[in-house]
Amino acid sequence: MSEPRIIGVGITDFGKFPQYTEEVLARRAIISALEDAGVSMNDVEASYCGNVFGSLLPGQRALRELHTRSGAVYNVNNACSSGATALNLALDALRSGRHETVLVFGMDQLSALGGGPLPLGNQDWNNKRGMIMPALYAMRAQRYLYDHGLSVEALADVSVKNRRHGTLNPIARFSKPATREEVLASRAVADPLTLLQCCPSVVDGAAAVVLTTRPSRGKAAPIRVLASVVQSGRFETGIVDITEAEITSRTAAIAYAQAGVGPDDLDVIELHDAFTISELLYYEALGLCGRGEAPALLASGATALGGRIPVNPSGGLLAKGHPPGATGLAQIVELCEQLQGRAGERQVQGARIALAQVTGGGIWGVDHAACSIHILGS
Amino acid sequence: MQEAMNIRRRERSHLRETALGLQLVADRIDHKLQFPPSDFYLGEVPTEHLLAPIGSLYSFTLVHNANGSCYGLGMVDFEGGVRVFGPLVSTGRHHWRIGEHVRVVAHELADGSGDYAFVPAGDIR
Repeated sequence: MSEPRIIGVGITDFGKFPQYTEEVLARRAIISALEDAGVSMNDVEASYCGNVFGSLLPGQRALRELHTRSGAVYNVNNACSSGATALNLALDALRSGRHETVLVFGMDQLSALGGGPLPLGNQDWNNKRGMIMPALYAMRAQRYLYDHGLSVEALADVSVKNRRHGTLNPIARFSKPATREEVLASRAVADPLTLLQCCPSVVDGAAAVVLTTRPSRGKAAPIRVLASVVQSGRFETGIVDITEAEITSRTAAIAYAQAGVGPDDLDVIELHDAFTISELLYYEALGLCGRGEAPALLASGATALGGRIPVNPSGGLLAKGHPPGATGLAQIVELCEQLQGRAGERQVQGARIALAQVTGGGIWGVDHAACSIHILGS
Repeated sequence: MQEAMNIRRRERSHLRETALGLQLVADRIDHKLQFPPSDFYLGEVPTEHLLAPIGSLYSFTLVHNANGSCYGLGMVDFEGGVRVFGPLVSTGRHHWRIGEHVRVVAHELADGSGDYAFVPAGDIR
């Protein structure tokens, strides 16, 4: 049995599409992935669906009109890590020999929710007292700026970079460039975060990948998965450093060990920039630089396209938006295209090893509820 | 049925009015303090621990609603190694600072139930 490889990818535009359903968006991404993989739905033995805000049985609803073999469908909700978690489970099934060819897809349609911050569980202790995701990240930003004597410009520059990247991505329908001044002058959301420092909250989209242990018939070179890790948050109610991104650094350590690589071996990264502060904290948690050094790394240009280690060449969540069920797989699609030399104007030259990081969920007592990291190789 | 499953709902309030003012009531579990306390206990009910009426502001933010209103939120560190999240309220326009001392006061949740918030420790209420 061969190791599993990603042999086809597909993705929809990310934008506001209230005229569609999440099921048809998923079908669009799935059909693109199957065509890219050179396989049909008849070759797919099982399907894994990441979805957060849809109703019951999202996978079956999306697949219903695709004439599947009626094999297993697994529905995964791990908040923003749903798609990546679905990929992790699919890889386990392939490595165990239970299946040979599987489909993994993620979808969400946030335009159906009406806008505003993503709804969190209203029975959660913090949420009953006014917590929203922007506020949680705002407090992280506030503390980070205080601890390191930094100004808000350090945050704004993340948005400037990723929005610039996003203009090169045909699927990032929201993406417009913005200057540092425009980012800082945009409407206040939760101090110090302004609107253009937060990923758009009303975005619809879907992404899909096909994996197999059989020989590839895909259009592009198959991609190896060197590491696939999912972790959950450590319950802590004491005095912790909320800028330390504990779950990400822990998950990254496991992923690096699994892949036999370190941060210096990476050529390109897609990470979970739901807010500008997120990207800075994750530079540090992924070991790209030391604590407090993220703004300097950003300012050096190292994480921009053309730099030493481009981060979020797709534009990230800040430029593309964040349909949570799809985001983790959208990162995988981007990185596969990078490793296959198919990223167009966003191409990172000579990319061979890539890392995707996504976190998920705010429940009280943990850094995040879930984190997933994949390391891919050409 | 409840007794057989040995699930007990927490009876005591997470708030206690004392001579020192309003204090938050934490659980003491395995020599560590936990706030908020659990809603349910499986087995023994842990002992309670009253947090000091004053803590230190670890971080904060001001949330701006689309209608122009705003509200403060903070994380407050208490002696004993406990961090508590809650609303920040003040009379007048207060510029919150990391490290300032804040006091626990009574405050209503949106559903009208009694709860807590933090005010600048120098505020007289």
